[in-house]
Amino acid sequence: MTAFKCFIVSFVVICAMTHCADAASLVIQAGRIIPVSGPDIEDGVILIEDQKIKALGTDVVIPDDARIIDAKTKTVMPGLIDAQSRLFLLDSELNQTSGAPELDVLDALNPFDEAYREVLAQGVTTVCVVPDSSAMWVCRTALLRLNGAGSVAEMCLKSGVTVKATLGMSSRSTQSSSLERLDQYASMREAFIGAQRYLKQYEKYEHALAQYNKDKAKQKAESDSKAPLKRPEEPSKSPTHEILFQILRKEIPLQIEVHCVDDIRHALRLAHEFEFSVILDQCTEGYRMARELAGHKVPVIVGPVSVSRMTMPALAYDHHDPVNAARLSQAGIQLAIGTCAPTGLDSKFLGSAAAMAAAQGMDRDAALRAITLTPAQILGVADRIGSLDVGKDADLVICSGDPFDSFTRIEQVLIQGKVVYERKAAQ
Amino acid sequence: MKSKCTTVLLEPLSKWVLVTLLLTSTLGVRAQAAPVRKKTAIEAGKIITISGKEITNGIILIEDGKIKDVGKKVDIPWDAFVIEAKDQVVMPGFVLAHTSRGLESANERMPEVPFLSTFDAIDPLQPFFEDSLRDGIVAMLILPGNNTLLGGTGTVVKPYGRIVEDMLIKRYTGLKISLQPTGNTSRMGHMQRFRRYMADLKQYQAQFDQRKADAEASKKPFDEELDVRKQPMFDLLERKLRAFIYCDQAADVIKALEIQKAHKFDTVLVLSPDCYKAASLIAKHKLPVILDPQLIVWETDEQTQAEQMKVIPQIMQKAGVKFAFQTDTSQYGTRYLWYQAAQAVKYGVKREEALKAMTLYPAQFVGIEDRFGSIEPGKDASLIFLTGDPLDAQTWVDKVMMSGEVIYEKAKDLRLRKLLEIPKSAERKKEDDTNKADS
Repeated sequence: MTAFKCFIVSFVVICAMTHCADAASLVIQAGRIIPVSGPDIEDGVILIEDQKIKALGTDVVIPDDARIIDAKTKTVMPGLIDAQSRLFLLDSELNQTSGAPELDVLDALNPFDEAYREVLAQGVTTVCVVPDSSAMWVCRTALLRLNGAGSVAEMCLKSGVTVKATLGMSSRSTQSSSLERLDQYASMREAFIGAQRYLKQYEKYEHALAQYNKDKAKQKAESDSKAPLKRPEEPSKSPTHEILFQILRKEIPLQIEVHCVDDIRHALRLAHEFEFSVILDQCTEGYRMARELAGHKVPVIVGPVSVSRMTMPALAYDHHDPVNAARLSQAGIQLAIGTCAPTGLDSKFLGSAAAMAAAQGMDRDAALRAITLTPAQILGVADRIGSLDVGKDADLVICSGDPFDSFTRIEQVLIQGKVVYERKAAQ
Repeated sequence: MKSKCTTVLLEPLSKWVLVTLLLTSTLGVRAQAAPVRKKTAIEAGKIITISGKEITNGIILIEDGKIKDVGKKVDIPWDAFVIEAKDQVVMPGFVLAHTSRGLESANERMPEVPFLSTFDAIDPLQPFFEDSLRDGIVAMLILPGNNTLLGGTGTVVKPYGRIVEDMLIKRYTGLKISLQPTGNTSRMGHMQRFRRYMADLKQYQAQFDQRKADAEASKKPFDEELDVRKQPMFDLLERKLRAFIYCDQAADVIKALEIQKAHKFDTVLVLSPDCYKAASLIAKHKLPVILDPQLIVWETDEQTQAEQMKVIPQIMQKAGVKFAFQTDTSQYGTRYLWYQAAQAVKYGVKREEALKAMTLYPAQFVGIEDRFGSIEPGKDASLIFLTGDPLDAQTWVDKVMMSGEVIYEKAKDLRLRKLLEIPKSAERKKEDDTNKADS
């Protein structure tokens, strides 16, 4: 894994270097900038250098050699982030019924999938890929850029973002019984207890090994071979436990898909008992316990906002209320909206999902944040993407007007300062 | 991957010749000078050497089953047996770099069986071998199928012989890794299984080395041996064995490159048609590939519904990937290497490359290029005599020579004769009979 990270880092460096070669900076003159992190800026300028936002505001000095994008009649906002997408997943991996925490979604991707173009054309620049699964443990998720690189390594913004799990999903077609749910809660709890035991065992081994090495050195120094020392046996490694460990140490959050109130409470109880960072995924019945949830201060990824009986499991469909996102947001919960749709292509409806949540009474700014900055914060990449701020990656969308207006068109999309989508003029 | 047993076949043979010679001479039965060096000369209308230029009206001189000389002006020794093939094309026999046919069953049910060998499963009586010989194949690497993650090691054989020992060219060649998950396993699970196997392997080796070091330190005898079931994987890590990684989809190529990078395997990719999408990636990593027999795929443009033809060898050539063809029976023509080469040339692949893709390149990928793949002095005289151009559908394989011996002749091919020479009268009679039975 570290080798892989190194690879990504070195790749980014190489990319940065190659971009330096044609170092000409890019300037966007915008009629309106929605930075999301702060108040809107009218008639502002965004200066982009080395894939990042160098300066932003009304008083930015434009370098002489800068390439200028005239968007004086347009609105500029950060690239959208789908917190729960199926984009790039191989067809064979869409509906797996088994999984494990050590599995990695990066092994299940098809970077040659062309569907991303349609999603990109709707202003989505980053997706968090999560397989749709009813297994209790699903896999580790990843954030991918829609830069069309055709290679997982070059698309991957962050791997091992969360570990995805589900509670109360054992039989998706019918509502699972409370007994089944309790059983799942108990098995997840057992898994964590097992991980704790594994941790202790390993610590014991490391301690014994240190003692052994010390004794050996001592024996060597005294150079008298009395009783031969016995080397402690290394416990066999368990990849599952190692990932659970990382969850226990809060190095990676556990993203639990829950629908019913019971399951939500089970997830919270587990997070409380084992003190891990939890992200509630979908949280279908959250509206019934919004205030209680707010008290727990857990982030939530809500979705899907619009549903169809044709494509949803009965459980999620029956308990669904389109007002969910609005209620949770009003209660002050850190909330992201994901498309959570059966296919990757549906990620293109992310903007509409947020607009629909706003129509149900969610604050407009909060709704826009729920598809930009908040998912970046929840998924741990707010230092890179999610808002228009100096130092962040230049992932941005130029649109013809208000982002939630259905008459608004997406004109251009930039990822890391590079124009990756441009609307073709009508012929 | 240098062959250690290049003369496996010849050594015992020549020894026997010597022994019998000695015996006969001492017994005084026949003290005549038996020809120790067997010389053969082929007078060919055209020689396709693969390694060099094509030669019209050339001569190939063979001594003891090996090519001694080739050219337009070669002196034919007085004691050489001359094969006249002035109206024929002589070229090196075809090499099949990857096949899972000719086995009793191609796949194990267990996912990790690197210790198995196809040598134990080859069925010499399968018509596949007879067909291959008829089609001009002189050497083939038989590897396990695509259903097992670590499928076992391969065997290089010639398609000739009654028992597998007779067919053998080289044992323990190549290890099959398949990235196509089977059963209920997901791709994530499949890759995880591989990583876990490798991690366990490394842990096992570390512990083994530690035990060995401890024993040496305390001057105790250490008679433990490495687990034989894991041995091929260690050989793979030490690059004594080549990995043949099967990619079922273009996305699997990325995983194969990841594996190659992580473990530095000596890698050959075995591709499905979909993998053409990863051509530039493969070229970047300079890995040799074995193409699927389906050389042409049609892609539908989602927006316009327009059908686009993708010719895989052409895409590979353009990207700069070195490829070999393999056979199959899935579609018409896929059984024949020449058909694939002809198809490739039709769509713009260079003729020389297409010819190499069924001779020299597969020989290199398998690691038998010191003996097969081209007509050069020092290589085995494993040649085919064609009635015309190798890429012409009307061409027959007239003779196959293996290490200097003609082992196949079309004129003596009973099965072929039966197929081709059905008397017309008999055919008519049969038709009449069936008509009568119907009415």
